[in-house]
Amino acid sequence: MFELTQESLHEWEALCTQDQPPYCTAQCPLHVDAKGICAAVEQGNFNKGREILEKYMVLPRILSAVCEAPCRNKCRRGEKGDAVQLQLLEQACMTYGKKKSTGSRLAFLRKKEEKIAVVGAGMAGLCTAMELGSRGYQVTLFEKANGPGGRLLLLDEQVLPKEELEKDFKKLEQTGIKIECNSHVDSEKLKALCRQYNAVYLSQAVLDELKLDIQIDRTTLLTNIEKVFAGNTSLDETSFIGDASDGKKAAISIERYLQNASLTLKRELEGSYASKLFTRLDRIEPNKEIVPETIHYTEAEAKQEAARCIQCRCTECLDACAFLRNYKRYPKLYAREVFNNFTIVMGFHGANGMINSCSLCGQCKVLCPNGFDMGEICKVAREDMVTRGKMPPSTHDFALMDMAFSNGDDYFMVQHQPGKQESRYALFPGFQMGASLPDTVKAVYQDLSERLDGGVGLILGCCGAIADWAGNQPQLKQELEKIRTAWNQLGQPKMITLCPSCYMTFQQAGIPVVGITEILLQIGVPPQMMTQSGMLAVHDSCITRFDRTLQDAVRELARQAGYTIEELPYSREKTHCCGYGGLTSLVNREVDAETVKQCISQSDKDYLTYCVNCRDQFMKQGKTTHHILELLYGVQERPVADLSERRLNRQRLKYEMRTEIWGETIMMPEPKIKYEIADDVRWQMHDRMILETDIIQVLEHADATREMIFNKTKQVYFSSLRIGNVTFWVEFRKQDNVYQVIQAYSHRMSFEECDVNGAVL
Amino acid sequence: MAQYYESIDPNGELICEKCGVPFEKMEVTLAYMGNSFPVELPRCPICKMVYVPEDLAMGKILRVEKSLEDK
Repeated sequence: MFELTQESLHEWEALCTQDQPPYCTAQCPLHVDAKGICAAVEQGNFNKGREILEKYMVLPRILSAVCEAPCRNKCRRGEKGDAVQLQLLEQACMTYGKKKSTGSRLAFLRKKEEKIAVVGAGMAGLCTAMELGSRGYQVTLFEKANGPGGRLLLLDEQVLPKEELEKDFKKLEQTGIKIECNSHVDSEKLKALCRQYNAVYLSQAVLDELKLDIQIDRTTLLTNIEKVFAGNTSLDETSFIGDASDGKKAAISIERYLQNASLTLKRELEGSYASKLFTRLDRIEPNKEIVPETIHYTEAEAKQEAARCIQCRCTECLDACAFLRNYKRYPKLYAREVFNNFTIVMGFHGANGMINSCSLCGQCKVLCPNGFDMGEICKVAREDMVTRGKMPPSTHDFALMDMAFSNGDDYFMVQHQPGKQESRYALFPGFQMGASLPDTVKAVYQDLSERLDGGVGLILGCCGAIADWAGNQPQLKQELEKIRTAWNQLGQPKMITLCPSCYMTFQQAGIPVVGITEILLQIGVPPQMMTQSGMLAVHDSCITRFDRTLQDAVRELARQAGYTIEELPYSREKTHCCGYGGLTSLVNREVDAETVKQCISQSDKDYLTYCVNCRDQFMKQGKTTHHILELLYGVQERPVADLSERRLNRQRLKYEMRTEIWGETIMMPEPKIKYEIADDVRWQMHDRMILETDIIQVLEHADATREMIFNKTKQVYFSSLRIGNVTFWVEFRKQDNVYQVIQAYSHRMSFEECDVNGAVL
Repeated sequence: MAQYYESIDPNGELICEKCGVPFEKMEVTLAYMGNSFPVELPRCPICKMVYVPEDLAMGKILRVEKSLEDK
């Protein structure tokens, strides 16, 4: 675990490469958005392609013709066939794309006072001049020849047609750059320029000619002569794109110099660098580049070539996780939001919802090439919120109350096997198994107590995982203490768990534990098992994603039951959470639904699970799913129990175990009133997290006190009762002494007592 | 005159079963997490029992609760 500090934030951010540029863009000294150009051209949108290109290239016709295309060496498409022909695509954009009407932009450009002399009108000087001119500076370009261009003029007409060259030169004029040709600059002239201009740029060619003893800083291009900047291209391989980049660098330095800003700050990412972006290639089919019929692409050819770009990006976690997709951005930004949330003292904590919607399952950590774990961030944030009293009260209230119920009188019990004074084992079904599959739990206990030697005790309760997910460590400790006391009471038996969460919780708490599947592999499948046939797709439990022994045991037991197994795309350590983990399903319905949808759409086979939460989550959305113990013990259970039934099932399980197995004479508590709740009302209660027991309490109170409100028009009654932090309302009719529940609702706000005039009493 | 966040008239429809009198529109202060909101709700003039309709509880009240929880 870590602490929420700026340092740890930066460490997390560095792991997520989602906003790293593609390899081609990082390699391009001008960082042209090649991916954007390809995306535009693929759609036939050459205008957009041209617009992008002109954003990065001040002389786009010249540069797209003469660029040496260093991007091609890094293009990831090149590992699956040929690299993308970006240069031809750029030229196609300039040919087929219309110029964006930016005339107005130049017209409205605010002219600046400062004057800059650029000496040498080769590629680097031209770019320096254009960069500064388009920022509004007054630029004069000095060239000893009778026209600008330098080495560009020596190029073959086929490579750079004169017409294209002239079109770009025209831009110099449009930008207001003055050109003084036939102008030789020597040492004396340089001194004069330094007096007349605010900054001077000397190109490499001029430097060589002047034979000045000059030192140039490589990062800023500032020389040891006041206000003079100089080209540094000869230190690199001579290339036109290198020169252009050098010109851009000089322009940035000169502007910062004139603004008295730092020349060195944040310049690491100028020029070529290596991208850290992760891009998956294993699903990319290799293909060859489109070779143009003539020298240049037709529009159709360009579209085909652009479509070959694989649009490099890392979506490993987003593809897998509905929660991460839900917030429309990516983990690096989420991490920042979580940290910002932590630093807000007063005001809106906008990331609360996100922090509490993660299932904490660790899938992203497995899938991320750098191991980014959103679950760990959210868990630490939850614990911090709980510690500082900033956890919204309604978020986990229901789940924590339900846990308290499980570890209270209604469910919790500790017993040696009937007739035994000691327990070598203790069955710990956990609270979800008791809630969903109570009859299976009974069958398992009966089977194990017959077939295992040394006594099989029983502990009914909750392991405390709920508190852990809610970020409530003190509560987790308390629940574990309760379990530990029970375990000691039974003489420290080996715990047999039916739920992967309990298994993991005990393992982490140092309580000896074995999963039911491992036990059944050792002692053989239950005698009552009916052999079946067919194929089942195994959905692995997220909490035991690294436990191969457990995963193998489940598969082996299913085979022994007669099934063949299908492996899902996201299985074993990569498995999805079903949406129950981290209490997501109780906190965020939308993420819950999307998560389940993604899980169940992996295969149309029926699913096999070994976590009852997965089973319930999938059954809830209509996917036929069998818990491994349902297959092995063949007990018929209700498909999906609502929240109220889940409580009743636990109560009934304890009652039936005590009466049927321990032979005790006890009575199930009965409500003092008679009531009816229709099925649709029950599901509405479930959605609103209102329990049947809440309704009973309200009605019993109403019955005893007559505190009811009668609506004459609708002929219905309303009654309410504050239970804990919630006021529950029930709307009902009364017929023949039976309360017929019409609907139920609740609110957490309370009434401050006040008199008729509003003064607080 | 006081400003109310919500004002609901019983329109003579609601009767207090215990006191046998019609509900009246009266001021109530709703409170949550240290914040309070004066509202006018149907209330029994004798026992002071308040009526909160379903659409208010599951609508406006729920929204305000959520936003206060994130403060």
